[in-house]
Amino acid sequence: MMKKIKLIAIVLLSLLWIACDPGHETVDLGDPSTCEGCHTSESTLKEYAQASGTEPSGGG
Amino acid sequence: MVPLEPWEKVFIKLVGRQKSYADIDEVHALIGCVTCHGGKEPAEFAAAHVGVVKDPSIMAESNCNPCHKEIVATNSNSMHSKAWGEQTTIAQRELGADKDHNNFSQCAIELTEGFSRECASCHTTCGQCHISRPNSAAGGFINNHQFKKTPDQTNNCLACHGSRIATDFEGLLKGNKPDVHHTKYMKCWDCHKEDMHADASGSATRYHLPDLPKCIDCHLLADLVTNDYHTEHWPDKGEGLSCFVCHSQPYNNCNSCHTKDPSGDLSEWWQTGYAESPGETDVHIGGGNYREYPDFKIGYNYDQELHDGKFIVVRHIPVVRDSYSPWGHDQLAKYDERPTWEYSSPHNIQRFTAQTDTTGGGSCGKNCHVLGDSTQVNMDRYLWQSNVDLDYPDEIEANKPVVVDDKVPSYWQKP
Repeated sequence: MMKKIKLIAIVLLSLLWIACDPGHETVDLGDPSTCEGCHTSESTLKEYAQASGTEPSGGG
Repeated sequence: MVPLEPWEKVFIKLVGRQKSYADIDEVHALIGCVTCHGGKEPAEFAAAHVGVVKDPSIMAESNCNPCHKEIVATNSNSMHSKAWGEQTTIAQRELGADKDHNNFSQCAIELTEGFSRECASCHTTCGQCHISRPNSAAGGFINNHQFKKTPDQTNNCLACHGSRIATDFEGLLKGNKPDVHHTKYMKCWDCHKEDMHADASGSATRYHLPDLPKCIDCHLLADLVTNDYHTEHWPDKGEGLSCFVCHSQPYNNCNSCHTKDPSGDLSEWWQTGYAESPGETDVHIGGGNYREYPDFKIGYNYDQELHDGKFIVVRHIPVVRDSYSPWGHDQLAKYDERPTWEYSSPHNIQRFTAQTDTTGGGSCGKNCHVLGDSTQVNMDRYLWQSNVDLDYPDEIEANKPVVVDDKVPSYWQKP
């Protein structure tokens, strides 16, 4: 019985933790003038790749 | 390996509740992109990438060292970083069989500079194993610029070790089965427990590494000797057969590669001068874009200090006397002093192979011993002087220690 209670408690606490985790907020997201803003944006990267006609830097 | 579009190679995909790179890698995110990669932010595309270093771990001493000091220190001399084995083979073919990587710097400057320019560019950096696909596979994040302690087998290990190991291990060669260890879902590191970051400057080749895996690490000696074939052929020093002789399937061999011409067209450099020999059948372009052909040859163990057994499996490797002529080095001075059919450890192990199959009764000797009804078939499994004479006339002297003509029992038939 105690085992079951422990298990349920662990599951509930895990769910609570996941639900409450705000993630790491960033002010850069979506801003193409920052590294992170650009490299987390699929559309921006595609645009630059097409415009430059060359392989973007990185990925070594 | 799934091909990646240029933009995909550098794309960090945020999923679920992830709101920044810090949700992918909290620790490395603290460092910031520019600290390692250089460049400038905020800035427009062009200005942002001025001075960017795509692989900062090429300068591991400054970029990885603050946290990974011990690994960086030893890894700078690891087998993967320095390719000691390559240095040894060049030194032996240029300076003599008694030389090794320690003598490499005494080679002609065309060789040492070419090596630094071409070979060393692949052998390798922290990032090419732990973040991205290696340069030889044209890069690209494995998983959103996440630093992975254990490399990805497909996208890292087999990206470099492709045309031979991957083809063998996954059973991609026509008529072959995958390696039994692959079928059992084993990964590279289940056997290769050697310290990949260790200082290997004391090892002339990968086969000299002290902690290289051995079959008996798992396959207990006590169990193996209960098999009559094992008892008869156990690879003791100077006697018996290497495990691979019985348990390997055919594997890829290469021929006559040349280095790149630094000033010329590099698009098909690996084909330059490829001279197909009469004995090569089914020559094809393999996964690594190299020309290769399947074969299986048992040779004489020319280095019994290093490898167990009297007979070993040998693979023809892609080197010719003028391999380095595009670098400005016309002839390898001591080309004849190192075999071009070299010891091999094919990763396509099966319990029952063409050599060990006893279907229909009889001993497996009928599949190997060059006697009786199977003479011609079995003869093809060995490297004879006549094979070298026919296919590789410029390599006769180099392979004298490997051919089996005067090593097999005298009562066997010979070509």
